[in-house]
Amino acid sequence: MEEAVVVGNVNEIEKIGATYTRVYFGNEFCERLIPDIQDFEKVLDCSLRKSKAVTLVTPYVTDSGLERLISLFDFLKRSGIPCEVVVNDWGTLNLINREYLILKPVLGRLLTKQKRCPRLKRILQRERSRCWHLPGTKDDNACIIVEKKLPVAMDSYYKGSNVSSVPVIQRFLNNSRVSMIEIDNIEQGLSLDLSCEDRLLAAVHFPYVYITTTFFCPIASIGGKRKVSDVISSCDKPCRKYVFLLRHKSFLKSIYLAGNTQFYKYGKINAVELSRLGVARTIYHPQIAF
Amino acid sequence: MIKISAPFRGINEVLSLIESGADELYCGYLSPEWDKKYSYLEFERKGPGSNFTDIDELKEAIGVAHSKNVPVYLALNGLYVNEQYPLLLKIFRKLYRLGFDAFIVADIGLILTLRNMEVSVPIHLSTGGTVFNSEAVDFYRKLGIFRIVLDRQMRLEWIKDISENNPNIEFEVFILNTLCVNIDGFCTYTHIYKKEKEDMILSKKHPQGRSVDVLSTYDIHGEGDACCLKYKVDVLSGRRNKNVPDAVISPVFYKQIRDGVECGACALYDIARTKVKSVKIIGRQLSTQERLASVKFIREALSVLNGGGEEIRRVDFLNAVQMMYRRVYGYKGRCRGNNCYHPEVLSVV
Repeated sequence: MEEAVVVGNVNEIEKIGATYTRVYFGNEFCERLIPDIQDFEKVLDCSLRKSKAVTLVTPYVTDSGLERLISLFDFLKRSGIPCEVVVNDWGTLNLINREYLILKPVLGRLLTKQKRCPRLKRILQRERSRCWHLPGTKDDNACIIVEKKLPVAMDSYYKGSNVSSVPVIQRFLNNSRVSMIEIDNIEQGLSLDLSCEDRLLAAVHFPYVYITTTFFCPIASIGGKRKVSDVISSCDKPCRKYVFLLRHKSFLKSIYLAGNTQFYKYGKINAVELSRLGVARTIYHPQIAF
Repeated sequence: MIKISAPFRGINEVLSLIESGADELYCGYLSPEWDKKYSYLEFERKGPGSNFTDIDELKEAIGVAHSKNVPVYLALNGLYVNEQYPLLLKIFRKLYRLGFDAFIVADIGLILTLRNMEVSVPIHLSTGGTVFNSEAVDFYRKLGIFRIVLDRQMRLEWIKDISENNPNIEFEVFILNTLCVNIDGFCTYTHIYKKEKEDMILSKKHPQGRSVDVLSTYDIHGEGDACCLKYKVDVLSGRRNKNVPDAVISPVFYKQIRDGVECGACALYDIARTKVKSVKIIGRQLSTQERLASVKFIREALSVLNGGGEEIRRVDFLNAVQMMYRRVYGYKGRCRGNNCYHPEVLSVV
């Protein structure tokens, strides 16, 4: 199994262990964090020196974000570097397959459509329906709450995803030159079926499972720059400095708010089991970095 | 002229929605067979009671709408795993015969499947398809998509550019209700696990003659959807900046700044100047009265925009629309931009 590690800058490459043979650089969630060519070039040079392969990670993008990606892709094309690129936007895949055939697209975890809600494990593990009798509501009526068991048939839905199970999608991805899909190591367990004729491989992110993301960045609002639900045109990237923990009893575990994206942490990983499922790579995030 | 796309879920609503100003209708259908096997959960993330469940009623409703020359679209915008496809396609084949004018689809697997089946009815891409740029438009155009419903968080300038740069495809944007703080197609939280009030029943057999309320839920801890909860927020240790008080570095959660119904009506002035074809009113889960009020409100706003033959000034349009909003939703005071789809337009008022 290939082991990859996510780095935030070139200096981190110097410190990574020998077991990691691939370096991930870039950002999946915010187009403002698309790396500059100079920084990416440094990462490429350093990785080459340390005999590590490089994967460029890209986010979902507006047309202006796409322009920044085009600059990076032009640089790679000019330099003749057949770099692997994680795409989290169907538009990026479209662009690569039309203009940048030297690049190797990987389908990012935003497009692989797992259900990642942190309450799912608890709900899926319930063995039978339960019932509470609550006396004394405000009208002095009795109240019974029934907590139902999820239908067993939903198990494959909550542990799998469309991309990781539906052959017509997998064939389409193969025809679109995608040979690997990225997923999260979700707490409720994984169900993958990648057995369609042109077998796709899977890569698993851990330990931070992405849950949701937004253009209305709650962190960019720090300092009271914005009072309404709007997309601000520029920010000082406070996400580089602050990460927040959100707690609510609905989830029984903490949510990490990093930049415009929420995550939960789940670190248990079983390489043998993952390998059996068709996972060929793990992607380790040493920190919840933005 | 921009069209108004409105949700409906019963035959009795068809004529009243059309008379209120709806140009297009959309709905969902939850098959009893699907409900029994998979439940209503994750079926387009709508709670019980939001969809048609009787296929004969649905067929009749389509007929009524068509008699008024109003198209009807079916939302099939869930995500589906392989195991669900046999039942999904069995249901689809029944629905296909009903005469829908388009299917609204989010799942790329279903889009590819319908394309392989050579389905002749247009496919609209649901907001779950996550289109934010012209390359993504091109990606879906090549898959045969006829119309794209853009994400709620798209800014007006992006909408303008994307619709003008891609004249070979239709666009639809949200205009009223349910402005999500997260990107719909990228949000993987579960929804609608809260208690189901519809299941409330009255028991006459209870001792002392008191009634018994029975509520059911799939998650006793679920107090609501994740985007609407009030969290305890802490700066993660190790990243705290001791020179800056926590209060100053609090993230902003917009669902907690409630100012009324989420609305983008002021932006109709700008949307009308783009190539957007239709504006979508959300709310299959809302009451008939709420949906009728929504349609009337947007129709009235469009009438102000288009009425009189003379072009209205932006500031006059915004003032007129905000007055309507206050009247329709009982909102007091000026719109502050909270729960506003396009707060950038408010700067001129």
